Amino acid sequence: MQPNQHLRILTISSMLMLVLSIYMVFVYAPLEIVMGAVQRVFYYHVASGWIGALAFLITLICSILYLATRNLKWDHVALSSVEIGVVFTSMNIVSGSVWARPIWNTWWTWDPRLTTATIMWLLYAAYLMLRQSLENPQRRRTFAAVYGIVAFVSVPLTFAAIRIWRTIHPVIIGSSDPSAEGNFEMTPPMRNAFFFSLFTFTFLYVTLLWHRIRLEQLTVQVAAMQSRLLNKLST
Amino acid sequence: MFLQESTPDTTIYMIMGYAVFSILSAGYAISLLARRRKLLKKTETITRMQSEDTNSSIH
Amino acid sequence: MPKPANSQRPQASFWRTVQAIMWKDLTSELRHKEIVSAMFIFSLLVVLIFNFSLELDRATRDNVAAGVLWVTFVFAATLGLNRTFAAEKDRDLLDGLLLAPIDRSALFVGKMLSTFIFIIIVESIVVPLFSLLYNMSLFTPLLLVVLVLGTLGYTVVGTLLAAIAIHTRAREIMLPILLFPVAVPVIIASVQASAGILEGNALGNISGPLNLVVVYDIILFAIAIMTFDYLIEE
Repeated sequence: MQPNQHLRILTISSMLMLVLSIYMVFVYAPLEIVMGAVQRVFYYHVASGWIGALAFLITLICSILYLATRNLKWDHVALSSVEIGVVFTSMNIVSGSVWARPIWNTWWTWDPRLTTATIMWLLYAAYLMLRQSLENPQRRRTFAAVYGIVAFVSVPLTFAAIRIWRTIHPVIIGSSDPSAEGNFEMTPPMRNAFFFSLFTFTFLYVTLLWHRIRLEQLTVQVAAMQSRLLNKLST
Repeated sequence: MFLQESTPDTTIYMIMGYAVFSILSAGYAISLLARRRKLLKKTETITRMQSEDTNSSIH
Repeated sequence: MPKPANSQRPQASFWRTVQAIMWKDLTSELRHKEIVSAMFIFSLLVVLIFNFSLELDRATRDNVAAGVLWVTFVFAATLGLNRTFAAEKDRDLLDGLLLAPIDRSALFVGKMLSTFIFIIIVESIVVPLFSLLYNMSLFTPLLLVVLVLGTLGYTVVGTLLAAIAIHTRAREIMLPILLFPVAVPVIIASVQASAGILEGNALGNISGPLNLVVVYDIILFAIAIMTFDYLIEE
């Protein structure tokens, strides 16, 4: 595979943005008075949650497109997006748990947001397991696409199902539940750092997605080479 | 919590939080690289076997 | 029963296919009696285990009865769903069934309804037994409605995913892993509605979870009908 100039530029620039956003999160954004230093987890926590949701939405769209067109590239995007989404959702959940320890005084609570995120993680972990356990490649792609659609639909339903409980999870953008604990007002520098982290993570997502798609293409190529070789050896 | 006077020291949790981000993202990047390297090695092996095969069939 | 969305063919033909498939499954089950009896015995075992693990005395019972009942049915139904396509798969008849010149959605609806009937049969034995064993009345019409609607939703998505799981390695393990996270909303909503009814709430107080069960049934039925064709083409 020839070195890809665009991808190299994208990778380097997203690394630079990551460095800049680290500077903004730790130096440029001021210390939050009530929560202390742990509030800085918030910037990447929200950003990784956003990437999780975005990645699974992309998977939904690509799964539908794959079933409609049977074009392999949509399947590659769907799979790559799930993998990245699972990694970012894991970051989101674990970092949230770390933040909750000093603020809510517990590592975990069965709050609607937390439960929905966990179910989402389980759904897409099941997606990856499903792909692992299907041997026929054509069938694997189709079945995964169907599961990618079913999985995404059940995420809002899960949220609705547990929404009947009151949430203690803070909402920084928009209005928050009065029982939320750990809310704070963002000052303008915090706001800048926050939106820049969102932007950086989105950029990072695109970069990782591109790398992962290339890996998937290579995997398919190698598999084809392997079967060609086996055919030749057996004749 | 809102009545406290001084800012609590929660630095340790901040470090833990960012350790999570860096470990998971670095782990994923390494896994991407490792998988890629493995595939490239496999390509090499297959190409070599193919050329050996054609050579032997010529003789 | 919501009507299937894509019935371009005349209704009679669609429903005759559905009936034929249901009839085939029901007669086969009448002959072997393996699915219903296995689900029934399994349900009793789960109830028994809950009894010992939660020490279901009078006070706890009222709080957890709805949860125990639903977990029992979800576990038992998973056994039945695992068998939905297994008889055909084991005898290599699945391809024949799939290649038959019939409406694919009729195949789905037929398979789904026969599994649904098996589960409902088991529930209609276990619910009276449960009320007898724990001396609590479960025979409110509203609770039966929730049981039917919740089971329907679970069976719809379960049948769709059983058609996927049947082709995987270790299919009995894959089905619950695929199914449980997808079915979480319907299970939560059904448990909440049932618990509300058992606490003696009126219809108005449980309309939230009850509506959600109905919404879930409709949405997943629509998705199942739309995607089932693709599962079969392979």
